[in-house]
Amino acid sequence: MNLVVIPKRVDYLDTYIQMGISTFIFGLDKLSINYPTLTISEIKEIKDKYPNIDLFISINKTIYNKDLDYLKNIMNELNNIAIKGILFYDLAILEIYSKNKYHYDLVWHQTHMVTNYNTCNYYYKKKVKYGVVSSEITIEEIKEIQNNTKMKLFVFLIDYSIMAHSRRKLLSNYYISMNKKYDLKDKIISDKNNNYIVKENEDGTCILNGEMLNGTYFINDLKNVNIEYGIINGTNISNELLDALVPMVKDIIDNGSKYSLKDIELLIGNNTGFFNKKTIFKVK
Amino acid sequence: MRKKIELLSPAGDLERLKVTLLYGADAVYIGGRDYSLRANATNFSLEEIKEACLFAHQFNKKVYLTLNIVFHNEDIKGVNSYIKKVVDCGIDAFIVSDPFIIDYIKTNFPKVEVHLSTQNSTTNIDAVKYFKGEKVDRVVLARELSIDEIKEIIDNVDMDIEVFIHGAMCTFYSGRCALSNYLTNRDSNRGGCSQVCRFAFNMENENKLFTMATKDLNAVKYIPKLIDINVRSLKVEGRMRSLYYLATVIGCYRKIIDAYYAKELTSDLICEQEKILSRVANRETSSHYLSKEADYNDQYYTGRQEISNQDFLGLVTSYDKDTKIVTLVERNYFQVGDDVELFTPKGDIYSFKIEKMYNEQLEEIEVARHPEEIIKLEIEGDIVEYSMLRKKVI
Repeated sequence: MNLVVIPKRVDYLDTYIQMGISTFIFGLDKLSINYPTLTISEIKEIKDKYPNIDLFISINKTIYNKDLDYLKNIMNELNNIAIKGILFYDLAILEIYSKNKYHYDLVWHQTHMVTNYNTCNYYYKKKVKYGVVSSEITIEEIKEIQNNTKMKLFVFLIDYSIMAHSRRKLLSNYYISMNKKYDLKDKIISDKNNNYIVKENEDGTCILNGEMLNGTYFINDLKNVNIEYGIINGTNISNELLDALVPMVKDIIDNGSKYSLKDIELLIGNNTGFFNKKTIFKVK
Repeated sequence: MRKKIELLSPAGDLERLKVTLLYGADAVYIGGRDYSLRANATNFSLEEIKEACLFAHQFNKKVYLTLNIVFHNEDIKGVNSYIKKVVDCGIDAFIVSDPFIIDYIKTNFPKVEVHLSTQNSTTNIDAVKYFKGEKVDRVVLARELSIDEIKEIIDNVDMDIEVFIHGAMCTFYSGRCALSNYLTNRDSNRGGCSQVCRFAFNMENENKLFTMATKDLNAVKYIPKLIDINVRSLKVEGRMRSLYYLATVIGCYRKIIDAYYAKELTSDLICEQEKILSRVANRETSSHYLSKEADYNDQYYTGRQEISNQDFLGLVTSYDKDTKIVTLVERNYFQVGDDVELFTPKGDIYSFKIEKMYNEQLEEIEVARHPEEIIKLEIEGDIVEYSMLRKKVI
């Protein structure tokens, strides 16, 4: 399994490369939600400086008609850069991809929908070679998917999982209701059990789980079924914490002896999300 | 010649299906016992699906089955045989979300239509083109689109387009919300949505609760425009809604659509239907994204604000043309002297003051106070079963 890092900033790439990381994901300016974003020229600079890394670009925003020309230009421009692939949510990307001969691969990244092997196989037939498994399914489901598809899978190991995305400006509207101006900062909301992170930008509002996912307990299970990539998402994590986590997780993936799962647990807790928790949908 | 636009109604069970078709729906969408996003609704058995199709087809109307869960591995086994059984029942279309199902249906049952669910949140021309390439017959667009954006899609892709016009709205993009999974362990994309977007939360450093709940959608003013831009189908939300709600909502939109095609639509008629619709709703309404970016005015900020009313007084079970006696089953309290309206599936409305009323034994009574009580009234008109008595609205 390769460890993939989503760094908060480009200038930290050196650090992670020195830690042995060679696969990274970034978002793209105006086309990504909840990812650190780069411009095309920044992506080009990275690949010029680090030709040996595998760079994936996430284009996961909901695409509107007004975005299509920009999207097509970007997909063409990315074809001139040696990126490894594009993570996509909107099917417009697959449509554009199918009409062009791009050198890069596609990664199916419909956040909550990558939940079964049949649909993985459907997209694989459409030349989508990779998929990012939904964070809302169990380890057994992930294993069953990988055992029944040729698609190469990414699994989030450490992340503030995104729970929902709206086109609405939910924070702005909330502050208007109090005759206050929204200060454009992320906010924490809570119920009696948990905290949640609310982020708003020009594309709408995202809500993230406020308790960090720790999927590192399942690294061996994932390796046993040949999951290709495990992801640490540093988008909403402090640089210091990310710097501490990356070598630990890398060591565990590589069967090293420097760190243990307990070391990671001490830093981020033991929320295993849905890896061991099956959701229900019929209430009896 | 352009096809007349379709009015598409939800139905949670057979009785509601029949009523909504009688009140003017051109087609009805229903859920089966499995694979539907309203897992906790009554939903239809295979026998009921067959009966629904037989009933609808005798009026040249259609029945669509929702198969729009996001599948997990465990859901895959059995779905193919289920689809075949539903096809054998006479279903006209499947509303699907997961694309592997599209492929299966179009390969094995090419005469049955496939409609892409709004669960896919399709928002642009190229995404619709993708599904055209997959032989999808119709795309239900995301509820986040403006009329101009919808028109642009229709003008650029030869695809039947369906648009939501009335009912509850999701706060988040359909399919891009797993709040229910995280907060209540109920899988929103498999029919278990617990409507977390209607909960209230504490906000850091603020005294006021943070809420995200939206008002309902009401597109009554935009029907002419939606017809003009060649939308194929107008969809009403609400497979768990009541008989009275469906009869009223479908009846109102039927009147507006028919009046528009007959070049008889007036602002007075629109206002009248808006007034009726406002009485049947249990939340405030808005046109949301249809004419502008959804904003502050489209949400609630003080927790749940749902109101129920007692407008629905009784459901007609029979009418004796000779004696002019209508028999109805009481739903809410009413009495002699009340101003009421009796509305029929044909769209007729009889307004009157109750002068006399009778119990099941034809004994004169003053008050109907017991739900399910049989009540008889004297009234002359073209009244049929499933007409409904309500408090005077107009």
